[in-house]
Amino acid sequence: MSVVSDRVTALVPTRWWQRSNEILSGVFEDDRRLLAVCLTPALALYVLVAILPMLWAFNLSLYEVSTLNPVWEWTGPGRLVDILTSGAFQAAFGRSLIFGFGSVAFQIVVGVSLALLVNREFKGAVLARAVALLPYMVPAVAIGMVGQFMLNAQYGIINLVLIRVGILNNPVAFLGLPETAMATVMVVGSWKFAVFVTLLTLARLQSIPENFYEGATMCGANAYQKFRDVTLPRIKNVILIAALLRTLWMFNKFDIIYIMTRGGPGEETTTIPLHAYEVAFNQYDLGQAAGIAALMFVFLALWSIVYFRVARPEEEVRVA
Amino acid sequence: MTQIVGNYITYGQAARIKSISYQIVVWAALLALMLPIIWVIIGTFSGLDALLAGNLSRILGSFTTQPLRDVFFASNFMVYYRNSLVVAAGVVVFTVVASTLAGYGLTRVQFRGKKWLARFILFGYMFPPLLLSIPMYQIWDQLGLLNSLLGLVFAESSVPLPFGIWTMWLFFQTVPIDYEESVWMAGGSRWHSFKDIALPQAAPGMVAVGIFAFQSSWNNYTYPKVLISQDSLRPLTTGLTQYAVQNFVFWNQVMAVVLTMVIPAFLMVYFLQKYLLEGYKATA
Repeated sequence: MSVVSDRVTALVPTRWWQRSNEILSGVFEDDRRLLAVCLTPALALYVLVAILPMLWAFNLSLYEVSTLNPVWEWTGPGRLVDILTSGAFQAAFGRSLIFGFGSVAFQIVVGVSLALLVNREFKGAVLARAVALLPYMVPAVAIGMVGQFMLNAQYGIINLVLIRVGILNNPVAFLGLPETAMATVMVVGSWKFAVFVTLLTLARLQSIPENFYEGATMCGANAYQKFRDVTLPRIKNVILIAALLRTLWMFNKFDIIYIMTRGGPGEETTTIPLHAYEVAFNQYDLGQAAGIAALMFVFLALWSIVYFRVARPEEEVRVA
Repeated sequence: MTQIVGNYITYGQAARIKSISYQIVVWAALLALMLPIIWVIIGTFSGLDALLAGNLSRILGSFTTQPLRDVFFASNFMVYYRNSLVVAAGVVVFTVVASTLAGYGLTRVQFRGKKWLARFILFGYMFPPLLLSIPMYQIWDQLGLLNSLLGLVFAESSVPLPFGIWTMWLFFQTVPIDYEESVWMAGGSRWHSFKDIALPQAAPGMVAVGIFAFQSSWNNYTYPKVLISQDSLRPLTTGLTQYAVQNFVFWNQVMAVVLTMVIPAFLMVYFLQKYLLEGYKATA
């Protein structure tokens, strides 16, 4: 660290360095100026990439705008009501709910068990943890492509193995059938995102002191009792937080579903984000797509109220 | 029930059997988790004919490095890879600098409404990329940031930024102010105590934020899909789908590209997992 910074320092003439040190010392001394200097980059970036697009979506939703036509035509807030009552939107919302809750239930079970498995110290634990955390780092688009390849009806390895073992008689197009497409996307998507639950849980598990377990052993607790009375109370909250965040994120998941099915077969896996993408970039109706986005931001705000009530993350901020 | 341990085998042996069987369970579970990755490796080194014929023994018998060579020397792979690296580097720098400064300011300066500011920042944690990308498409068009790597850097920063600000905020709270006070006692300014004391102590947090920023940019598909249409500016994620031409997919080449995405991911979780867990400890 210091070697690097010394080299950088050596590149700059001493006079400039002293001068900038003096200026920054002056800025940092005053509370208000310090706050301005520190917060401006972060808040400016935050407003540009998150707040501005959100407000823009609300404004845009009141107009008829096409990607092909630069003229904005005022339509008014009636548009939002139209979207809410449209069958396509409601169906997509329902599918988002199914996809969100279904995959999160799956992710919690897999993710927490995985965390419990690799938490203990043993030879090769670092490698085991690296392997367990790997899926979260692999891009969703890569997972989607691999999933498509492995699940293919003609030459996919999963069909080959299932037929060889005798579970299936004929190959099944898992992603092409209305009955199986949604469930399949859920499972493949969860391969990656279960590991987010693992990450949060593992981080918490690693901070439980070993002597808690030793104490429980002394008192004659068996493995199940130790889990119930020592582990579970300490990870309960983390699991809840992970579930709340993950449900919302899966609800709005775009990439993995888009890569694997493009929303098909038919509209079977068209969740809200795929519906919005379809409207914006295939039907060229940016106004309506912005309306969908605006409605989803309202939904998001409602969900975040629940999240803030339950998790109370802002309590971590120290106010001295 | 007869007591086996103590009579037939020693306690030491029993403990060893327990630990070995535990490890067998762990590695079996991890092997099951890794099956897709193993298939990626096999696919990378197989001929396309064998893969499309769907015959396992033929696939394993068709070892070739042709797909890797095709990808490296006869496709746009290098361009995609470079774009991915440039964008990821930009996102890391923006996120780490902005959130470190913000974290320090928010910890050391007292003002009213901090909890609301915290909620405001955490709210950004939930914004879905696709829904942001639709208005962004128009805004970026007006700003001339469509089809530009800088525009992509800005867009992709929206994902790790709230996490970064939040992590650094909590991290600076764990850096005791006493150390900084001793610098002030010795006549140093707050700038010096920030630069020489607080910053080095917050380094693990900065690394955690950097990793998160890197991986979220490296993985991002939605923003480049919407904001980049020029092939020479595509990152790896949207570049990957270019290996599928009109319903015909060069699966072995796709698997080769996937493998080049998996390897850096693995190196990261292996060597930097301490920082990774540190960062997530702060979030929960």
